[in-house]
Amino acid sequence: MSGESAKGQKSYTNALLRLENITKAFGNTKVLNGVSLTVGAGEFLTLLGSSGCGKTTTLRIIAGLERPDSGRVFLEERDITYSEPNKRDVNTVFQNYALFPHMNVESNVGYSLRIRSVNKVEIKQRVADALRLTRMDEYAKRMPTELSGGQMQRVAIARAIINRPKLLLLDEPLGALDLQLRRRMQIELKRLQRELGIAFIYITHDQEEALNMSDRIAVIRGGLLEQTGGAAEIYDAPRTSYVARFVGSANILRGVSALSSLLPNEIIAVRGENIVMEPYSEQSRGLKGVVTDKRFAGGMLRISARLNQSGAEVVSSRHGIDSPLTPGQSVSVSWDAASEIVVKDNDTGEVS
Amino acid sequence: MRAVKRERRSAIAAVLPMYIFTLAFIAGPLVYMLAMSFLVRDERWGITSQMTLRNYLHIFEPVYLETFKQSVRLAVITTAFTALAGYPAGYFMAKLTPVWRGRCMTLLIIPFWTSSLMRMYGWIIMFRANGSLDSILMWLGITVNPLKLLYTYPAVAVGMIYALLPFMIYPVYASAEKMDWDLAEAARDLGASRFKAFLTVSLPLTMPGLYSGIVLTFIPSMGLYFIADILGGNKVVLVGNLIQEQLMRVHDWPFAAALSVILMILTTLFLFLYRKLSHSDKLEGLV
Repeated sequence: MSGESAKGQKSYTNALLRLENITKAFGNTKVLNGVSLTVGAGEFLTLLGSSGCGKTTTLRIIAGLERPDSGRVFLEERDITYSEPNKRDVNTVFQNYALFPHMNVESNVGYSLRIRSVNKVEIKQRVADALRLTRMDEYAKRMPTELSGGQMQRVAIARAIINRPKLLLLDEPLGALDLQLRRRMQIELKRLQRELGIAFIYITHDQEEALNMSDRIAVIRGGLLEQTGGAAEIYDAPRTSYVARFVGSANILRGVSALSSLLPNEIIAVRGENIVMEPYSEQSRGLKGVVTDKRFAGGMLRISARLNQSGAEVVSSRHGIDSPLTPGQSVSVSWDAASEIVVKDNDTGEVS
Repeated sequence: MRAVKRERRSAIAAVLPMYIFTLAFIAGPLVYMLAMSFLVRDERWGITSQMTLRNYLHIFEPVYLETFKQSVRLAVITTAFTALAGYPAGYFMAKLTPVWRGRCMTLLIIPFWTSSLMRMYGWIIMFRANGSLDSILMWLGITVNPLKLLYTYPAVAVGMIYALLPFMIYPVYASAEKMDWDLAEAARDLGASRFKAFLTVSLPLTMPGLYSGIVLTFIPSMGLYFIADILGGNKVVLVGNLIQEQLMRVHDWPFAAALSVILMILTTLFLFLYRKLSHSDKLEGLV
């Protein structure tokens, strides 16, 4: 029953957590419009979405810090929709860490054990274990104010896992850290999750982070799950233009004659690495456009062009680190049929 | 180096007025009072330059010791009740929506538009035999005869609590409002019931507010004499009344000074003890 085994990770036969049609409104603002979701034991699920999409509210409902207006929450098939946060086998790593400022690292980490009146010897032992797991053993006597952001994060994680909950909720835990530290913590969180065999629900708005860490990704938008699936599936086979753009940064080619056949509400998406841009000549087969921007991003060039025909902006990222193209130049833009992804057009063009 | 010197000079210039003010109006009078408490009074008016310890020995007479005992008792009772009523008031006020917080704040401030002396006379109307309180209680059938509450110890205590309550509510509210409520949620998430989360997280973190509140109510409750005057008649005599009497009627300035010095030492001692005993480190151990 417990998710302790590390190898059982990839098969989620028994649902650990099940959300059924959750809705929630704050005043007149509807935040969740019927979210249904299943998380398996030991699974790493990421809730991916832009700010205000309802991902934090979903997490708070699972933690019991918020009550849904309708819908049900089941943990191991037990209805916990209205049970108190302290009666759930779920712990949270808060976005701002929420370390108790009047307690040192050791007391913070041991808090949930002291609350449950575990004996002192065992507390000491388990605190030491948790601190070793998060590599914070040398900081046991420090106060939270004497720690850096990354260290506070580790303490928050140690505090949340000490009771070995079945499910750990992480609300953008790496949001406040610099890029380098974030990358390192991603790897460590993943290691920790494997070692403990605890299911993680991880919130982020960073698609790269989601793709790197998750077994499964649930893209959430406007209080609804837009698509749920494995990282590869979400990236390779987005079902909607929003997912294609948000997760793969794909070009949504609106008003362009597609090579694939489309239904009325469908549109094509082509990823940057599949867009070919060549200097324009009379013989070119592609669409004519003008280069508008050329910049380095993540070790490679990203070249943007505006298509003359539709005025659509297209980004190509297949140029390596050197390209003869310069802004203002006329180019021919093309792609092959195989790289066209047919998606449902639901994109309102909002900035993510 | 020169820049540093210039900076230091301007820093001194900035704090100098404050030092002068503190020396002239706080330290000066205190030293004057302390010095006077060791002098012999003049038979007719004022003081002589003769030194003595008699003023202090005087205080150990049973009558005066009794006065001190009564004052301390009233101050402790007043502070305890203001804390009991004021802490929850301030704490829950911080949990209200900003609009309601503003309304509560206004309600707390309105009484200050009238002099506190006037408000104490209001309590006379409440407490006097066959006054408002008696009428209500007898109409409700709770009591049969007038209670004759005016000029009793409880009447004074109620007046004190009433007068000092805002000074407990404000600091508690301020510290509760500053508190990060996510911390209470974190405690709940980690398995604490509402009550335990309050005891282990919210209470220790609002302790500074409670402490300020206790300082702000305990100190005045040791010295406030007009409330005892108005609601206690001459039945309740506090150190404050004693000092006033010695100063204004008996004209024994040195004795009044000695009483004041002892009152100050006593007050400081109590607050120091309280602080030692209620340290938040210890509160953490309540779990």
